[in-house]
Amino acid sequence: MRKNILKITLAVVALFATERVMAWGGFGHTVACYAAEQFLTPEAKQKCRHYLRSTLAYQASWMDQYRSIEGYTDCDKWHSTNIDAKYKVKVGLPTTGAYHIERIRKEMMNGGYKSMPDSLVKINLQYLVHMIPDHHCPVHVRWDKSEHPEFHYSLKNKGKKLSYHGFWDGSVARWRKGWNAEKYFEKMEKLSKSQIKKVQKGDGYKWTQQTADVSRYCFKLTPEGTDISKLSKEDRAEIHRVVDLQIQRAAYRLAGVLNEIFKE
Amino acid sequence: MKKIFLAIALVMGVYSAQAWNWVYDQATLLWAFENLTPQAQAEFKRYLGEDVHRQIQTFEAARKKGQLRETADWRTISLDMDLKPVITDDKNAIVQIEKAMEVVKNRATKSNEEVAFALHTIIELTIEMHNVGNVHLEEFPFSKDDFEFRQSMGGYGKKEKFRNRKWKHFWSYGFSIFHSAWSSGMHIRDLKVCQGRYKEQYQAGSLRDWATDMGKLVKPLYEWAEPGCYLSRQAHAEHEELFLAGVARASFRMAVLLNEALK
Repeated sequence: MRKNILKITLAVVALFATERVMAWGGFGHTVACYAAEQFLTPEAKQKCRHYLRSTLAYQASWMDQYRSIEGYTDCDKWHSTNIDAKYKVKVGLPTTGAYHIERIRKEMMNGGYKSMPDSLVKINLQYLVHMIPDHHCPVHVRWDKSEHPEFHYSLKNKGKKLSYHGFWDGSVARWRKGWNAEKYFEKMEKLSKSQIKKVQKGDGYKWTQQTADVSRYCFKLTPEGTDISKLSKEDRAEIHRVVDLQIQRAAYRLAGVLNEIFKE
Repeated sequence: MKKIFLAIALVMGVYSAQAWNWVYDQATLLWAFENLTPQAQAEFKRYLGEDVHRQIQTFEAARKKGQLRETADWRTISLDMDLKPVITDDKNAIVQIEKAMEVVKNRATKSNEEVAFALHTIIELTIEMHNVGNVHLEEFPFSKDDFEFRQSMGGYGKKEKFRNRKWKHFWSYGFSIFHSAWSSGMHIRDLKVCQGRYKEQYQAGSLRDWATDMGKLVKPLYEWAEPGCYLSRQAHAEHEELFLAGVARASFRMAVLLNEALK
């Protein structure tokens, strides 16, 4: 009898939950892109809408939807980037996202997008709007298990095993029931011109290096064995501070890249 | 055990009975409201109140309380082999919308409750008739059924994973999962970008023409969709265009109906 109840409960939970597992979570990607669109210049916004035929937020999770579709599986590794034994980003690896952020950015800059077919501009934009936020997610830097065994463990939720990756992927939305992207943006700290300039400085590799440093801090925040249901109010606030800062950086940087590409 | 099954049936029933999800329904109405004349907007608020965004899924809410059960039969449209509407009784969206239009047009002789009910009928059934799952084609008899199909959950080759899904539930909720954290305002902005340019095209014709138009939109689906069929991950993502085309049509057409009724 109890087994039957368990099976039915699991089936119902699976029915409603299966599709919601996405990198940074659908919520994190949406809020990053929604915020980025607010920071676009009018010309960049117009160009993005022309090529995408949608808002940036609409394309936020396109790469997650397509990552396992035949023909797009090469891009499956572009959602994250490898870090070496000395905690440094591996540069120049075509199997990493940071490589492709820089590749696309350089190909499209200085009017480069004008010589591309519209369909290529569109897909390049779809990659950028996903990869830049992804590379600000603390669990989207890859720590090789042989070099960093200390970073490979699980967490707990009410005593049950919880994936470390899953926890941090969903951390922007966690404990924020009923929030939407507009509300999140309203509460997001907006930067001054000089602060924006400072945040946008660098490139895909430097931003990923910063995320790697943040990632190491996150391991300290939620060490092995942490039961997230027992986190203090202060711990939860600190987790939100870290992920909100990363979303803010992602939004300003994505907008910066797009503004730069479509600068007349 | 019975209680558990009843609870599950209730949850599934509630989910399968709604047009789209709450946020999409709200976006449809709010965008339609933006396209009303000032006079129609004032009349709308006179009968339904200031909270425009709340005027959706009211029949659904009543049905949950065991009221207005007959409205569950009003949501569909049936189309013959030439995609002309089949009207045999009043259990369809077209007849009910037409009746409601007459009530609103003659509102001077009607009670406020009658007019409010008629306005809700126009709002809800315009949404329902643009939901792919509610468009029944005689050429494809199974289009009436809430059949099961296999949906790919990702991976390909031997690694591909599937789940069984219900057709009508898919067309109500299958796309909202791509857009968590979205508000109705965000949907409206996005719909304006991707569908706004089709306003005149969508608004042309009469209610019955719109039913035929929905038939044309839906027909290619049934070239592949049938009980037990397979929906790839890519097809799932690509069909969102069709879903959004239905939402935009509903919104623009709701504005036409309300402007005409509330003149």
